[in-house]
Amino acid sequence: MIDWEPMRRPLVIAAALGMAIVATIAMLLLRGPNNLAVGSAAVSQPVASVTPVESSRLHLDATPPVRISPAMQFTDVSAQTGIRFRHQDGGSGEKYLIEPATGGVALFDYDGDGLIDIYFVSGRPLPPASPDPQAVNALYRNEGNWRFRDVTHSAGVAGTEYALGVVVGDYDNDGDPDLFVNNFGPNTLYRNNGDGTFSDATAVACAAGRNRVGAGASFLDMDADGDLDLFVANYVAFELSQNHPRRNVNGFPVYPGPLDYDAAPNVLLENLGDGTFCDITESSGVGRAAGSGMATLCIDYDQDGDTDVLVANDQRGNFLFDNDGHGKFTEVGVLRGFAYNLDGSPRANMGLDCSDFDGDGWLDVISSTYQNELPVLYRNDRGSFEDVSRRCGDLMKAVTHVKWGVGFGDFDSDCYPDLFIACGDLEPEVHRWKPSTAFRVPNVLLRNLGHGTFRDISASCGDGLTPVESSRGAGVDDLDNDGNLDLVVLNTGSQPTIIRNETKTANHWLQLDLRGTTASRDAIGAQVRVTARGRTFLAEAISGRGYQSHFGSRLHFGLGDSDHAERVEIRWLGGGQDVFTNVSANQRLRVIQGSSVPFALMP
Amino acid sequence: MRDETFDVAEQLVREIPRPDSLCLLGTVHHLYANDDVAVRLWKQCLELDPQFADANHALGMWSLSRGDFVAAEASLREALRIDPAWDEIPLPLDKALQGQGKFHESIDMLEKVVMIRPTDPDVLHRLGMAYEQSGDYENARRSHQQAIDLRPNFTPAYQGLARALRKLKRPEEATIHEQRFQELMAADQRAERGQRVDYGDHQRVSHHLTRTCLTAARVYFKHGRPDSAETPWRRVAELDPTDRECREGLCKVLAAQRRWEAAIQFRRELTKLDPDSTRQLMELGALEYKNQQLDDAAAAFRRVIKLAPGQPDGYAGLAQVQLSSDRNPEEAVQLARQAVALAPTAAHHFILATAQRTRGDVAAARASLEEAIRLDPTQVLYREAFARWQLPPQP
Repeated sequence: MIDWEPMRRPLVIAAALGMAIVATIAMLLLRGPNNLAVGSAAVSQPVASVTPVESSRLHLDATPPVRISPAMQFTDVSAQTGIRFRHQDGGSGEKYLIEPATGGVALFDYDGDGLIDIYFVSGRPLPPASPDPQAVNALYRNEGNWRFRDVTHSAGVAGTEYALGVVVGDYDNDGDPDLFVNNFGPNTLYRNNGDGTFSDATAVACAAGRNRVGAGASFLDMDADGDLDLFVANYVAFELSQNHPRRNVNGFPVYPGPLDYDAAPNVLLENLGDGTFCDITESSGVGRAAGSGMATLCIDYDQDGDTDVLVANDQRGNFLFDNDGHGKFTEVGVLRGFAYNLDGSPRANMGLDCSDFDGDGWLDVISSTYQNELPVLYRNDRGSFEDVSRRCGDLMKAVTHVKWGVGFGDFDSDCYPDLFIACGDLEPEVHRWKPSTAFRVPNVLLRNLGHGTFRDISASCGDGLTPVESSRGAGVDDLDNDGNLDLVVLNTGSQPTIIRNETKTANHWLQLDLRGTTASRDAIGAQVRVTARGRTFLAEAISGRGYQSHFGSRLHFGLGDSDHAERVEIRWLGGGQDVFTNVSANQRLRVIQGSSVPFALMP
Repeated sequence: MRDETFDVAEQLVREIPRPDSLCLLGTVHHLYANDDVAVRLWKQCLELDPQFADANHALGMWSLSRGDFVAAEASLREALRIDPAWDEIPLPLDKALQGQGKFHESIDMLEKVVMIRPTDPDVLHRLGMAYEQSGDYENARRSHQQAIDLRPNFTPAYQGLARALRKLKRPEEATIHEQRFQELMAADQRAERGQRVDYGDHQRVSHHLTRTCLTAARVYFKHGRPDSAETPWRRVAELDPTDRECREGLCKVLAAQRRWEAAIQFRRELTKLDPDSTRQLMELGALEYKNQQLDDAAAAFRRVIKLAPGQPDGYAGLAQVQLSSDRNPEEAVQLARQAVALAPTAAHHFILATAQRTRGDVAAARASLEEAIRLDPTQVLYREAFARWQLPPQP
């Protein structure tokens, strides 16, 4: 036989507040539903059609929906947005490990005007390159009609460090979202001043971390005390001055991998409630496991009432830190089936997101992976995960390329969350030794067909998926408040792609903006079950997801052909739940913990 | 070395323009990222010979690497249809099947493979995965357990076994296997980290050249050009001091050309690679004997006797050495008797007869030779000896 050994075992060598701040925002500082004036001018009257009821048993129904959606349509609107941000990886030919790993994107309403704004992170020139004043993070204010304005410098969030990840959370419970940037070097915590500007609160809050290669991060209320703690994933023990192995493939220099470096422990910071954090990495148990963390996801995967921490590790087994409810964690990745894929092999895990993709009432998790690796879809079987990637149809279509940003979103509101995956290689010259992929490749959109399977619709959903870039972080949210989830994609070394969802559908939807009272102000950790036509789907308010990114603060539920949700049940972290019935579709509602009725947000 | 790799494959195509040569050239192009050319060459192979399994295999592996499981399945199935005994096809074919969610087809195929290769832990592990995906956790458990029984350090099988046990509501057992899995995984990662320290492009390119030369030599040999195989085999010997295949091939070619000293050199390298291999020592002794290096030959056969005193080969070989130039006929008789005692074959009786005749024991020689002829009446050598020795009749 002709020897095929080289192919059979390929070497592995193997990504200015422009409006007046509404005075009522300040009132959010007052805790409690009676004092909580909701947000901004974007709040209207209570919704008459909502009826609060007693809590009841969760109703699960796996009946597949009737598919009535036409083809999804996405349009690349990047050129019209006014966004001129250009990401930089800081590379100067030295092939430092961190260059391909930046960066994330955050979608959040920083000024409370009801429109989702965008924050992009960027690397900085690495030695021996000279400093570049253009290499900064960027905040773009959404001014409506798909126009964005660069408010980076007036808001004070340009940053000075080499940034990788970003996450949003109201850590001081003052009613406006704060920003944490995970850097190579000291991290940065930006406190939202509530007037369109941010203050660097890193030193005051003791939030700089341990001067490592930061990656994903998440705010979570680990002890359900009503304030947000902070989990910071670290990549590996990398320093510019050492541990810099040089490699090449077919004569081309390539990046080293995470296994060339020692694993790095993650960091857990406890919010002391006075605007400062305390490093409890060791005492919490988190420090006992060191990996190569790329992304984090903090959810109550086992529905025991506390928030657990999932970490995607690059070429090492994933971590699942199980919370005992008091902020003590035990790593149970192998025990719960989350550490490795079905093969029992460590994957190059990049991004993480979750959704109840099969409508069984449990949050399932997707992990994006390296080239020639299937993305791993972990189905949640009542608190234990099972790799079902091979059963999910066209998930295999995403196998060829390196995958980074990942986000679930019900883009056609048919009740079943679809899946977006951002792709792109590390190596600009990869096509010269691996022709099956390239540095710049198209991203992938998989439509959830129900029945637990997906279909690749990337090539048939308009020009939104046609840009060919090397993408990294991605976010999913409704940027124009039309009830359709849009997409923002950070492309390394390039400008971002802004994708408008123009799907014409008769399907209905419901968006929820949660506000905690005894729970944290932005209700991180709250679980919501929405029932329509007898089908119930679960979502959770999450801080930090995808690839080193943040998005989805407003929970979006597709209702299919049902013009109302029969039941909306919210379980607040720390106890208590609110239940509403007969909630009209096609509206965004703000729900304040303990209030008898939600408020509709306009427009 | 990159250019040299192409040169080896292109020269092979020029000298032997057959599908196997084209297939190798296609593989070299693939290794250096010229996939368009590679695929064209592989398809050209199939135009020349639609029954050429290697080209189907190459196309199947290429499709698999691109995540095109449907095309991979088609090509690999065709390769397997053409060559049902090709044991390297079922596992990639199974990846193509499981990648498409065809778990029952996977089970059907792997169960058949297990019947043929019941001791292959990789097949059993894949079978366990397929059963698991189809919801048959008892058979999944059984398959993973069998894989572990065959390969106790088979890391991923422990995870599969633990998963199956959890599904079967046997958590205590699952926990034990999960712990073992974690231990093994940590060890695997430490080992991988150690390997990465030595990783470099030179190693990779050298590896490609080595495999290309080996395959080219096989093609030359297969098509009746053993002498042409010498050059690529010698190159492999330079590049890889541990490669056995090239050295075996060189010994064969050089011995056929009666280039004993060169053959002995490579056989000695093989004996260094496998110092306790009695086969290598026997081959070495035989070459040295043919080259009249009798002391060296004797040393080789004595080493065989020491390593395997219950086997007859060393005694028989050393007996022949001691008979040569009448070095020690007395010892030769004793050695030949030992060989006969251990394995009373015609050949051993003949050696004994020769030794007895040399020592002057004609009657015994006649009896031994008659026994050799009785055991193998077709062997002309024995009959010729009988006539030539002019042995007296039995009293």
